[in-house]
Amino acid sequence: MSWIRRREICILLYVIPAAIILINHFSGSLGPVTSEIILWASTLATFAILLGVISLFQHHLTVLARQRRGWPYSIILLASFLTTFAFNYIYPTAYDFIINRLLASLQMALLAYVGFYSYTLFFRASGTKNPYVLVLLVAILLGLFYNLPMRDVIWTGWGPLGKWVNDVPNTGGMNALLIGVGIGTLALFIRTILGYEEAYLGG
Amino acid sequence: MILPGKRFEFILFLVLLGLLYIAIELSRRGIRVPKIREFAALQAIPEAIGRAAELNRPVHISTGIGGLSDEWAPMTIAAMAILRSVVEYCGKLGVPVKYFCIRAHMLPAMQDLVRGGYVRGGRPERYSEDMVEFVGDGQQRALMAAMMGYISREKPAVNILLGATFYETYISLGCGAVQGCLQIAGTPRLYYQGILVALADYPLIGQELYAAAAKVSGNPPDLGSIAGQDYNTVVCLILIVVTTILATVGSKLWSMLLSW
Repeated sequence: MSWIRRREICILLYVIPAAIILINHFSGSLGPVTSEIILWASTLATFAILLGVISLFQHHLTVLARQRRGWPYSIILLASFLTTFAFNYIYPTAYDFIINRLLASLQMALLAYVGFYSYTLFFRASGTKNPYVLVLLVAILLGLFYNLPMRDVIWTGWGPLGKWVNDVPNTGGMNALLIGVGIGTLALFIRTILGYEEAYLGG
Repeated sequence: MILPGKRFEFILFLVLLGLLYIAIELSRRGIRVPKIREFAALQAIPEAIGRAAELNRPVHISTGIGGLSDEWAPMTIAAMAILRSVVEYCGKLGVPVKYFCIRAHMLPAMQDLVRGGYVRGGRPERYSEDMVEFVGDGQQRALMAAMMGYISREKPAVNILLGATFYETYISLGCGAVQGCLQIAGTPRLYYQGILVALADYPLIGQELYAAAAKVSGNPPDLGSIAGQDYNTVVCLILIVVTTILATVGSKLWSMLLSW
């Protein structure tokens, strides 16, 4: 049984479900099997979460035991985890409060950073020594003026110009990129099913 | 039997797959091994890791929120192929790595990838379980907070973000730019191409991520797959030109082929 090696089995576990899903996409004849495979994937993912939780506890308990820098944050994290987990079963009202009032607000606050970084992108880009950035800056300016409520007051040409840039070069470029990405995905797929690509197996 | 409306798509799929296979086989047998241009992002990796070693600061790596069980899997696999060599360089120079894992099913694979990198680099004793930290399954905000906190506190010398990245691209690269990290980033995701160009020192645009993943291994079959991608691009260009002419002259052939 020496021919059964771990990597070959892992590759087969990738190839067989991929082939079934692909056959079903074109023929529609393996619908129930495809649904079953997708269900299995969800089930396995649920077990994987357990692994993740164990890793999370291991990490933060180690931080606490060794009193590493920022250890009080580990206490907050573990306490938050256990409290939320317990409330979900013991006191659902409190659980809803944590999710809808505390977590949602914190998440919104964090998302504000996305806005901050995206608005300051223009200023950062202007300091970058890269010729492509010039194209980006021109596109940003055109986009800004195109979406400006008072654009026609400045110049009536912003509307048609912005629309043309959006519909023609932008859509063309996006589609070209999409074709390239699709071909790249196909190349990676064939490398994986032939066993040349093994990075997803780890070490 | 192939479903109506998918027959042309199926034939095109087989043609593209066949061209890729031929290119890979030609390269594998040494008949036609393509020469691939250098990627600045790949060339910068040893220098970047060396810089981290000199500054005695860690390297932050990320594959974004894409996993191995969703439609973003090819991007994640490509990212893992590049990160494999990044971690090996880190192993050689003894530079600590940090990876925040957002997909539970990727945890063992990434732990193995990082551990393997240190083993291949000749310093397995420098590997620590803490290097791969789980932050919540599919919890993008948790990943963003973890990245932002880590980059702000630890100030890594190098920030590498590859794969299927979403909003965390803004956070990771934005925060990295503020902290002065050398940034290598690449994603085929359309909406984030602009931010890569603006904020990454070495961006990998669009399908460059896939090509770089093949290039980093240096194996003839992988290099052959890049040549295969070029053949496929030529097929797509021919199709675009032909269909444009057909549409211009008012032919119904194209719509017939699509509904076949």
